[in-house]
Amino acid sequence: MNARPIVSQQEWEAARQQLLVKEKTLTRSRDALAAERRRMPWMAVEKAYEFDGPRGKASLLDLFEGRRQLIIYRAFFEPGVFGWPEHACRGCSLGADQVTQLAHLNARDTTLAYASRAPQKDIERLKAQMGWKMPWYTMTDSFDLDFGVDQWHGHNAFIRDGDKVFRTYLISGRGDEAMGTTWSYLDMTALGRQETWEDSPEGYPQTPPYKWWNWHDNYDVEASPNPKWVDILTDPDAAYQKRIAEAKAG
Amino acid sequence: MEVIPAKVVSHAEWLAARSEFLSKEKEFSRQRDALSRQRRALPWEKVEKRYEFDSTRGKVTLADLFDGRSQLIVYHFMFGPGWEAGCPSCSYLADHFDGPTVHLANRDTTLAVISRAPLAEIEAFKKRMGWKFQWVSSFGSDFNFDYHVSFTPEERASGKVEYNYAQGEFPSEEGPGVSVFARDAAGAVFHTYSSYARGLDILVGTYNFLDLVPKGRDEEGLAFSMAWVRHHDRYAEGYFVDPGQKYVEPKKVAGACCSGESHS
Repeated sequence: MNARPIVSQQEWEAARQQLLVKEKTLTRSRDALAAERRRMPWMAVEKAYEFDGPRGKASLLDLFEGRRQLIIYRAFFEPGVFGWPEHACRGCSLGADQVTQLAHLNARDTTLAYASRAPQKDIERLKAQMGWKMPWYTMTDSFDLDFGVDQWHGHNAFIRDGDKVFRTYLISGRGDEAMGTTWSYLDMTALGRQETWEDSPEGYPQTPPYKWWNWHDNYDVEASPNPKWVDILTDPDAAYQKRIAEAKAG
Repeated sequence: MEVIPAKVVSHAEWLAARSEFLSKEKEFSRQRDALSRQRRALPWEKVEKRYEFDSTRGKVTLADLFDGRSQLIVYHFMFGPGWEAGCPSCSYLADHFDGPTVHLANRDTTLAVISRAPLAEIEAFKKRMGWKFQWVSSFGSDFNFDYHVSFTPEERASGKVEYNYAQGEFPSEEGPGVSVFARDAAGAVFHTYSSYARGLDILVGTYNFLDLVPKGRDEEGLAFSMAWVRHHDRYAEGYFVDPGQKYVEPKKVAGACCSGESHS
């Protein structure tokens, strides 16, 4: 790694001040974006969805746990997904590691839940193994397809007015990375995320994104992912098509 | 509080509005990437002073805190000597630390938390909160003052506290911040970055979630934005948000001994 120019405290602070102005601009644009998000139109959820939960059958309304707002993260944990049955997908697991004390979200009248296709007994085992505490449901119908998360992860947001439920928002792809703080921490460091897509000073260490992400209990055991799954990590759409073709052929 | 829908529309209209907004979000992501790139191009300053901290392993230096890795992120946690608890807002941030730690370690990065309270006070509070991250004490050290996250009574009385690269008043003897250090092969330590105030916003995963829901963070009308925040074990009992409540640092425990601290 090539170190950056080493300067005096005065020069360091001058350079830092300059970037601070830009950082403040970005913080303000983020606030403006969030303000606009709060003004997005809503869509009524007309279909009755059914989930399996730790206490049996649950409706979408039940998932609110009595609160006003609900966020459902569609996590990939089911047969055919990298890691099954020992683990959920690595990216979803990295995200789950960063879901913290739910008391703060709940205090803002908001419930966060995870949903996958795996049966409850597998979900319960996984949660215990990984130390995760969030409510995690099994999808039993077309929920994932209807809410745009059948092939790719994503967060859907809902609000309710009494028993009436509205879908307010969906975020996925790199938008999901904003939920976790590992990425934000790395963005602060001298080296950044150390991922190949980043435009960094010459000689900085870099590896492809997704591939270094690992289960928190597996970094020491198996640093690189099984080659069998690399296409899913790097080009999920192509991998999905390939697997469909293979299933048809086989 | 009643939430009035902006507009209730059909799925097709919903999707159209969402797609249009997505292009703005993508533009924002690119702006953030560009800013991160400029951050990595910032110059470094050498840390010449030898700082020592109290840890459960005894005295440790700033270089020791790297734990063998080449990058160190220090969270400056507001916990003054004798305070009955750590700052609730910092605790809210700290609730997001344990998840990332192992992943950061595998990107050559160590996360450490430093406060000015004596180690015994830190350990007791850490146990109550159930946290696992490395948390050391800078009691008696210049460290917090040099990195502009602790302020002397004289500085506060003058109304010219240096915080977030500006001078002004500050409502507490401690301030929140994050500082980043790098270490070269010879063991020299460099200060690459520090951020304060709303620069810490992106480290709060709970806020990122709240930014997705219709009510947002719902902080309008509060005397300070985190007035609704409590220690995670204190929401249940009679939770009530007083919008007029200004920030107050945690009370000092009666008879707490913090007069022994000196710093040059």
